[in-house]
Amino acid sequence: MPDLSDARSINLDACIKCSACFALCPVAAVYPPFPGPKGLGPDAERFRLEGLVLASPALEYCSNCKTCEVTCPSGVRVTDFILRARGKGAAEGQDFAQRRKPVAGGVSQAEYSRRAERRLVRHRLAWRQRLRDYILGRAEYLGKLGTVWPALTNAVLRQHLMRRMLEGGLGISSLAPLPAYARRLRLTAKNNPPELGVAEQPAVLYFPGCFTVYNDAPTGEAVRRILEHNGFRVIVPDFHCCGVPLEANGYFRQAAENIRRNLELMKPYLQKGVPVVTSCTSCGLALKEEYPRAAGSDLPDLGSRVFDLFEFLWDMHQAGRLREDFVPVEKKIAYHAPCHLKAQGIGTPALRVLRLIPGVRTEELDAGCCGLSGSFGFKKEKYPLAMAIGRGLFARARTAAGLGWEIGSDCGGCRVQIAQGAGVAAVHPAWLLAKAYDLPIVKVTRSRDYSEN
Amino acid sequence: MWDVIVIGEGLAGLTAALRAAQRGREVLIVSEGSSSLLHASGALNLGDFAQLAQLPGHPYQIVGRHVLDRAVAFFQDICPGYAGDSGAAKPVLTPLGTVRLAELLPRAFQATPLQTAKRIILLAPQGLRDFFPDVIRVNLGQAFSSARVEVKELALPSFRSWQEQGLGIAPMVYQRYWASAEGRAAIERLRRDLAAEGVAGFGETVAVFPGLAPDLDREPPGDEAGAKDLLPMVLMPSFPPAPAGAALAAALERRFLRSGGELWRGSRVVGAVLGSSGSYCAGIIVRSKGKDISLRARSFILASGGILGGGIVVGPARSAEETVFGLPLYAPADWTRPDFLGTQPFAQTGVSVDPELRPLDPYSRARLLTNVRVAGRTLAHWDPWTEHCGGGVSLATGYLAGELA
Repeated sequence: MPDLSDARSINLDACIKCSACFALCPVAAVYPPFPGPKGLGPDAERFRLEGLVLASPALEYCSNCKTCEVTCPSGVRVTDFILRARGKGAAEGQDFAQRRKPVAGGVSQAEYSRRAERRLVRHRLAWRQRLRDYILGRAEYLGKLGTVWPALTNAVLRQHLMRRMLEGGLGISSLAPLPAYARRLRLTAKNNPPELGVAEQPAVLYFPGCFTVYNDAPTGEAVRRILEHNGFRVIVPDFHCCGVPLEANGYFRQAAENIRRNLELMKPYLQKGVPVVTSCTSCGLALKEEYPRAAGSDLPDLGSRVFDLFEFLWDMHQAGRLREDFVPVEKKIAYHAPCHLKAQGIGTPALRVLRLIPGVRTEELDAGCCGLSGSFGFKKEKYPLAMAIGRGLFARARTAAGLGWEIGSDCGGCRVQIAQGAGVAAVHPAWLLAKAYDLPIVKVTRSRDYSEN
Repeated sequence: MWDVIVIGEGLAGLTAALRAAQRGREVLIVSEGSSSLLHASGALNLGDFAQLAQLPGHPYQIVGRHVLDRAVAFFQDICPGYAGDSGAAKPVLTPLGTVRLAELLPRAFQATPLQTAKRIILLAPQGLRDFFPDVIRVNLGQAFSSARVEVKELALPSFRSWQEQGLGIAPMVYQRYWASAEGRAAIERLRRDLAAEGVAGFGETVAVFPGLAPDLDREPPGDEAGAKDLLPMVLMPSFPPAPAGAALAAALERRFLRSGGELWRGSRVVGAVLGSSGSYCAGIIVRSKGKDISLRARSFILASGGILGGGIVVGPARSAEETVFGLPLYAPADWTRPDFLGTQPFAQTGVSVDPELRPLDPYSRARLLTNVRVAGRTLAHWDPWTEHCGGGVSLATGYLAGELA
């Protein structure tokens, strides 16, 4: 039987206009002018295919949560259409409308463009917003800068006046929970041998992601210890940002460059059969989706070699190779599945693995998107939307915490947003596993992840 | 390794998964997208069991009355909002204000109060999309000729910015508001105010409320003394994607997750791995991001839907294929008849099964797979639209599949 799944999903005709994506889009539910995924995606794509680039400002309001792709019963890649349209818009300077073909019987294309130029100024993203998106897209550089002297950076970012200036000058919300910087994750120095020996213990390549490296190093340490406890040597090349913040802010060329550089770092290990493990679900999604596309025939089975941490551990459990010498952990964990984990289509492996630990009780919060969506919720005009989107989740988290449940989520952004909206700290589920293995847990000083005003 | 993997998250799939989970099985549901219940009205039809069970090969003939009754009771236990007398068909409004009959309804959907009303107030939330008060008013007037129908606009402060921008508001968005504490209070206030200003006689004035999902978690109060100061209300289903359908899907999913089940949404099943004898399914192959994953279980339930759900794909020259296992399908020789909205033979296309819902070759009747059961639309020999039994067949076959898996 022919496998039509991929053909269907890039084929616009696969969209049957059922509006499931619109019905479940978190942004459309809270923001009136947002046309929704169907409108901006498959509907508008028909115009784009004809050369009519309607670079509506509404495109910027897609949070890239991928809920539409997960809920589409026809497998349409809705977010793909929207992000590509954003990229086109960025490349063409966000022209309001631009025809590629000459207007029949009308003005010449050149004249049309000139007139459009004069009209488009108010529709172009303001220079402040473009600068802001430039900055927020560069998580890696922000991280490197912020971790030079984390205490100072955090103190500055907590200054009310400073935040008001950032809001007025760049449009970064003064209320948004900018994650605090901390001591950088340092695994590369110790664990980055250039070559793998022949008779080596099995190795994994760990892709920690910018949040773990610059904001939450102890979680990275915990992940490393968990993998080492299971007999792996953990190799962490000096990876660059996975590229998701760049893409989300329209910088596709730069993201492609990051992807290329990261692939270069991975290649020698991938060729030796070393799998890649991520503990951040957005990096994981990018590594499974964007990277294989970019690598192409260079690394044909790259997607099948990338694993979310708990997906990896569950596979080991299925093969009977996971160390299950657990110390009982008497904890109740209320789990929030990040949107980008749902988009990976592997279910909730963290819950499966945690349920192996004696004493652990798990429940899923099952309350949709937290609202932050990476840099989306930090932007001044989007912060209120982000908080509205996450309202249901915050309420559930508060209730759960009140009943003694710990909140767990694999995404750093979700944890920051839950702290902001629910006033409750959340942990990466890896911590429970580290506790069950009785690993020497690095003391975590609770740096405040949100700036108070 | 799971005990049971259910393919498809429609009513049949969810019912099967819930029953299997209730019996202590480790259950996984894999679904390509959101549940097809999102496009359901929330009213479920059981149909004329006695008549349909006589049709050769009909799912009702295969499962029997007892299973249908148990399935309905099981469903009502999970969604108390659907509780009440079952069996008899009750009137329910359509999104255009006409009346149809259905056997399994949320109590709040039952349009019976309108039959004795003297005054019907059609509430019209401002900006509500896919809502046509003028058409509905006329249809209500014709259906309930002893009542006077009037339209009352609702302008809500929470939606002021939408209204100022002249934007339509989808029923799903309105439903989010109605479900909030503020929205619930607003509804209660409205019902109280309308009851206070109303004509004499309880039950003589009834409101019709569009785009509001019924509360499925609680059995609704009857029409006793306590509700005297609140205007009686009949909920009107919406066009899809409908809040009532979404609420039903959410209620079933929530119960499933709470009973320990796992749900993978957004992953399409692209194939199956059969054992060496070819009569046993060892696993299914799921297309996740970046890789195809093989999932193993002891038994499987195929509830992938029909043509709309993606379980059956039709092609030129009347080809029809079952998309997961490639099971041979029963398909009638003639597919279509000229009467567009009449009985269409192609609707009978599907998988033939034995008394335990296991797939058979439609012609030789040889059993094909011993640990796979089929439920819902994917089954052959029935037509949900002309037989008005979609809900009943989904519940009954889903329940039986979950019972046996």
